[in-house]
Amino acid sequence: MTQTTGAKLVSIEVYDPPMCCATGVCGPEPDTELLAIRDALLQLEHELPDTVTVARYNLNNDGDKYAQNPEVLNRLREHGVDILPVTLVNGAPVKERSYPTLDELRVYAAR
Amino acid sequence: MTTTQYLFFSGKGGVGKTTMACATAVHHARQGKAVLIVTTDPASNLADVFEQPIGHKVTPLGMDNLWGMEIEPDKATEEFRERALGPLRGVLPENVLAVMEEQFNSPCTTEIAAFDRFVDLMIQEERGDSPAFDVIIFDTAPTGHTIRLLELPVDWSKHIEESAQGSGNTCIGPVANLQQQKAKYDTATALLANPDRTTFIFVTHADLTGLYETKRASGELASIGVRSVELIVNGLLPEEVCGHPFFRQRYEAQQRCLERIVETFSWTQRRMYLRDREIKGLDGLAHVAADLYPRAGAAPQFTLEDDGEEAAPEPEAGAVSDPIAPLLQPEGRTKAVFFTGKGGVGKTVVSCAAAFHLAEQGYNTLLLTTDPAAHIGAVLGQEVGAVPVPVEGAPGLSAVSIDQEEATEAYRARILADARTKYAPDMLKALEEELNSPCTEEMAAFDRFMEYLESEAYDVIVIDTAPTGHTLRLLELPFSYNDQAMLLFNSRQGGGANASPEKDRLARIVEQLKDPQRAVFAFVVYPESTPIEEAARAMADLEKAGIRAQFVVANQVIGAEYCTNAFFRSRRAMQVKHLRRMKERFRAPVAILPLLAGEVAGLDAVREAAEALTAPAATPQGA
Repeated sequence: MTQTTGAKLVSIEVYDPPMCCATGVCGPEPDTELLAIRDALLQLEHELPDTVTVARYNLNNDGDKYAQNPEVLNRLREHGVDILPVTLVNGAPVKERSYPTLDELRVYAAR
Repeated sequence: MTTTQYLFFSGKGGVGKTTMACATAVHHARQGKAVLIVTTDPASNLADVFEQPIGHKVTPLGMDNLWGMEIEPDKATEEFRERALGPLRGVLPENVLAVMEEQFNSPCTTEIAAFDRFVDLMIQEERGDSPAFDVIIFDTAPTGHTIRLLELPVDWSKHIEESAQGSGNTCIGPVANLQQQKAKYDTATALLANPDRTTFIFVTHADLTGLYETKRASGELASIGVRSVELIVNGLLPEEVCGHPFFRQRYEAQQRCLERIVETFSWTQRRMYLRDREIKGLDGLAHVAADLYPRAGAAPQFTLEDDGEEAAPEPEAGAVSDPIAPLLQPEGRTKAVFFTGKGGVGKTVVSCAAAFHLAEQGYNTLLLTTDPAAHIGAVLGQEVGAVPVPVEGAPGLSAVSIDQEEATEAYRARILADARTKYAPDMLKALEEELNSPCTEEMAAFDRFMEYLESEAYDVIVIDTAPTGHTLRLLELPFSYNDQAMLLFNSRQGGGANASPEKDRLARIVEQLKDPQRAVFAFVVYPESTPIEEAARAMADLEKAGIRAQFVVANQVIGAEYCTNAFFRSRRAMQVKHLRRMKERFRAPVAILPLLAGEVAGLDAVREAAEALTAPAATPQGA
């Protein structure tokens, strides 16, 4: 925890769609979108190690997280899994149906 | 503390794995050891052998010291699935749950679910929580892939979450749910690697496919640290019954292969002779056990305790081959012909025969196989490589061998090279394991197939490696679930995008595979219980993907004209009985490919097989 520095803590949560593999390696080619978001999140943590916490959930493994978060659950009930991925910043939804870019992540982190 | 011995039997469908496991169980029980035999084979197989109902619980098997238990793979998978999804029912919407359920239909999950039950038994033993057994025999060994998955670091998915190095999202999704039980798996995997406690027993036939498969599987076992391995070479022809030149030739081919097996593997090897009928009941098993674990100086047997009677002849009506040639023919556009079935049932030979027939009919035909290049080369009598080449002496026929290991390796190398620059060692390890999945291999072969299909350079493409229903459903999900589901391919488009070249391509191909005019799926089996059960399950899996198998090939049916002694007459009667059952069960034409004198080698043998397979009229064999 870094509260003593006075820096704002930003929590970023990404709720992924269900997939056979995170990388798409089970498909005919690796999934560049998924590789890109991994890379972007890594980079963000690297840039802001003391202020940003990142969590990613997978519908297959972490179904309970989807069920426990009202923002995510309501979206799933209304739109089905098509709404995923959903990104939350400090609990508030900021992006759905696609992953944020690194630039977008930097903007969220600066809020 | 108990010192139970664990014996895992491994081998392809139809090699007699269950029978060898049962005979081994009887052997140990007769020596006064308390024995439990556990199977995950399709229901009733063990029950068939012991001629009594068994079921999902430990059951006495009619002799002292012997108990059995049948783990039903479907039930185990369902229990496993409900453990994960049950708490979410009524909370998450139905359509979301449907997508999650599909993830549990993968063949990997079924195997993991079954292994999970094995592990429970092993753990109870170690704790002394259950009646102690001296020997526990599992008639189906888990693959190396499954065991390695369970060995992955306990918290890698957690670690990945925390560090945002990835989603922790893999085809081992269900395993992540199990990892709370990590201690259990640690104990089990340690036992597997302990040669004083655990032995893996391969069962194989003395043929080239068996030799190849055993080599491959032994590499996998070494990679998971299993050190105690034994081999049973089953189905050997007794020299005494091979008076007919037809069987003499087969006998000699087996002996040559047996020599190579002896040279190749340094493990303890046991030999088992073919019997004149199916082995059933405690007497039959005791008979087999006496050969498998002989007293010094005892000579092997091959006819079951003679009750003085040959098996009753079966009505020959069951042995009539249904015509399938019309089903193979293309109608205007490129047709895909898939042969599917467990390793070792002769898919490659059947594919060669079908492709040869089509070329003779004047169709420009490509034979695409994942059989090792050397073996397919031997079958066709010329070299076959990774690029299609015309087959000399068979105008219109080209052949290509996908080196599945090479194709998979190329794919893995490409992804890992990229990943190494980006990810930490833990993530790489997980990614690497993901890439070791059998699904990846299937996909690598399917990917090559799609390229040839799209080239439209051939009238027909015959392939001996059909995708499973699970893979087809995965390819298809974005289309059939439409707005609800979004899997692999959708997510690649950043979520919502609709059209993309890759998606259109897959849509076209999946559509073609579901069109019975443009794609034919056929199953290859031996006319014996286990292969028939396995084919029935695989067929049901395909049907879930909207594809119905159009015909079945019964391979290695002994021609009546060669059955000049009681031994082979009895075996043929057994096969004819199963052929009749197949017709009832599969509700599809059953073509018969007779047992040929040697392994199919050279175009003359392929022509012979092609003629037998596609016989235009239904003539009783050997009439």
